[in-house]
Amino acid sequence: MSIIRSHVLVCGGTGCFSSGCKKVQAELHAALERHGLANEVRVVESGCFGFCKMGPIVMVYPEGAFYCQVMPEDAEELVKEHLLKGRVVERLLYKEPVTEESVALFNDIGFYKKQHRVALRNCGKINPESIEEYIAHDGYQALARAVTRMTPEEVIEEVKRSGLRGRGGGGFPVGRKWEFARVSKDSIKYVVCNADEGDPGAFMDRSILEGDPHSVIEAMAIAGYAIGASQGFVYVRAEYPIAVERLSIAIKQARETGLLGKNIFGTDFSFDVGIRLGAGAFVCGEETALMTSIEGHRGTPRPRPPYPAVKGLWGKPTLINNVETLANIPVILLHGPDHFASIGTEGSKGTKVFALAGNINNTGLVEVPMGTTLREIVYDIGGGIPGGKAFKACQTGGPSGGCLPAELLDTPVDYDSLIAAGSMMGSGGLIVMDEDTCMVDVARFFLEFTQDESCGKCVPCREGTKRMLEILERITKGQGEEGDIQLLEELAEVISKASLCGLGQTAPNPVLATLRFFRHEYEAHIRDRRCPAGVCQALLSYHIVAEKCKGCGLCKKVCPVEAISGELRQPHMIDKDKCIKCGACVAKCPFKAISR
Amino acid sequence: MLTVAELNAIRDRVRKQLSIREPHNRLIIGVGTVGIAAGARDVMVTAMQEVNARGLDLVVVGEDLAMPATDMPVVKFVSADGVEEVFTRVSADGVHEIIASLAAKVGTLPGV
Ligand SMILES: Cc1cc2nc3c(=O)[nH]c(=O)nc-3n(C[C@H](O)[C@H](O)[C@H](O)COP(=O)(O)O)c2cc1C
Repeated sequence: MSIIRSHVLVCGGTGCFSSGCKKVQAELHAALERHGLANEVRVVESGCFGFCKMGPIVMVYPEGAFYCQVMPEDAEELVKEHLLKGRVVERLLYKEPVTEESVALFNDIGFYKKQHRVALRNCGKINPESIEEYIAHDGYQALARAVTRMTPEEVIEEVKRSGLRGRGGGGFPVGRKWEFARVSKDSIKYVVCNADEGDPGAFMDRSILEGDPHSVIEAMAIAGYAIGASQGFVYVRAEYPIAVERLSIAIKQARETGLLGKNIFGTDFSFDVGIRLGAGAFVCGEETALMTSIEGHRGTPRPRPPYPAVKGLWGKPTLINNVETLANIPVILLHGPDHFASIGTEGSKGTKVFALAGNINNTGLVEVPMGTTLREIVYDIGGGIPGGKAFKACQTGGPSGGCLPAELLDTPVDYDSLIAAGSMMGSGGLIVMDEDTCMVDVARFFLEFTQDESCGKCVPCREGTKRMLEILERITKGQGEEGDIQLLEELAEVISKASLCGLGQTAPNPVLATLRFFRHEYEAHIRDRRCPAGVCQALLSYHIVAEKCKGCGLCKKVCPVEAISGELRQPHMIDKDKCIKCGACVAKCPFKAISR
Repeated sequence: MLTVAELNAIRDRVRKQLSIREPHNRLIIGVGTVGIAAGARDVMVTAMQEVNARGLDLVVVGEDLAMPATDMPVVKFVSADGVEEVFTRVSADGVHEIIASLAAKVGTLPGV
């Protein structure tokens, strides 16, 4: 008989999958066989640990040793040293970016220390393909309590008392939405989980579905019980194949175990969940477009009211909640609404998951109590800005959001404070930008995205975003004109007021937010034909500062178009007609003698 | 159909298997090179069987304990509240006695 003394969890999230976790798993199995430990040590594929930059991640229990960037060739050493001889392999441990100190235990790593994992509670902890592991972590206990010991009204009351607000972007109080769907009179109702997650760079929902799919299924069943629905759909983009696969496995297991299907826990409550795949259009995350897509039509929005809770899928009352919103539900019912409400701030209860990206040392998923400041997220959890560069801004709220400057780093992250500061929570994208970022170019990037994703149904969004993008493109190409800023502001006002759905209504936000805090950059582009951050190529002009140039010739060698000339040990020159402004010379010059 | 009692039974059974990931009490076996040469692997396997048979809330861990070679194999017990006890020159048979002496202290896992 085999008795297992150690579990080796290998992250199988999308990030680690791309960095080769499958090969690492295979090599670990082979090494365990070689050392006769296959019967004592179990290799388990887990969900995402959130620290994607450090992948593939391997966690060894019972010690809880956290290994990073493990390559297949490291498997032999891990098995021989750690699993056979009990010696932690130092070189594979995480090193704090500032102190360079190795940290052995997961909970001691700066990236995790200030996190509070509620929605991500099981991600990286359990095998997402095992319903039993979910059950061992109190899985389906909340559903059991709801359907066997509570009335639907009591369930809704607890969700209301928890103060949970929707994590998909709007921040609408969840309990109230459930109540609206409950009081809508119809014999057929639906529960929909919005897993479209279209914000560029966001992957919170994907990670939850990959790492803890049962938490979402359980929550959907609870929602079904509360509003009186017996069918749910998860709308997930086909670009998330691992999430779709794990969700399919989880639904199958839940049906086989009797946790989905007829007469759940012997009651007269029946519920099932189906998956509907989206093609990855941003607008299909908008709830009315999403429902249109599920119904089999092209995903375009429709006017609200009527709201989905009154007239949704196939005209029936429909409750739509985001993945992360739902992942919080079992915790609320299990530990009580007051416990949940004790986390966070007055108006924003609980935690929020962010996808931390951009110019930051620790990229990945972080879950923090509402009210944590941006500074804590960027510096304490994110480990600060790489290369000693200065923080310039951070973008929250994705394409609908805004950028906050360094002066607002102490803003607490909650729905109301972010709006008051000039941005918004959104679904959880958090992009950090350093001093080398051009804010006009950032606005252009987001507008290019929304313009591209505009479904074209309404004129203000279809035409208006195009005109705004054209103006921004002109400005970044050095062809900006006096009056462009006013024109942008006027267009923004019309588009946000007249667009049919949230996509158009919020599309101008990145422009308005950058204008609010970085107007001088727009003015420098238009009036001085200068990009202060040195990003907009058309506005750059490279030249070599003769006093600094030592004539080493490195720039000449690296220039791909032979635009640089000069004798050895004599100041060099750039031929501006030939220069393609690629910046290779600036990166190479050891004397910082090239300006732009 | 699954009943709540059946759900709880699955929870307790699997929790036992997963106690490795959230250990309370640990029985550390010195399995460095010297420990292994002195027979620590046998001690470890025996300890695992014994702990399993008794369903104890005790996790067996291999570690390279820094102890004199003459003391090997070494077994160190660390309780959930951090109290330590060290046993030296432990044989595979001896580990049965050690575990018997710890059984009351650590208790059994839920559902056992
Ligand atoms: C353009 C656009 C895209 C959206 N994309 C998403 C998305 O990907 N995921 C999501 O949950 N909500 C998205 N939303 C918000 C949804 O319309 C809806 O408010 C949300 O799913 C409700 O769930 P919640 O109350 O749990 O947040 C989007 C809204 C707009 C306007």
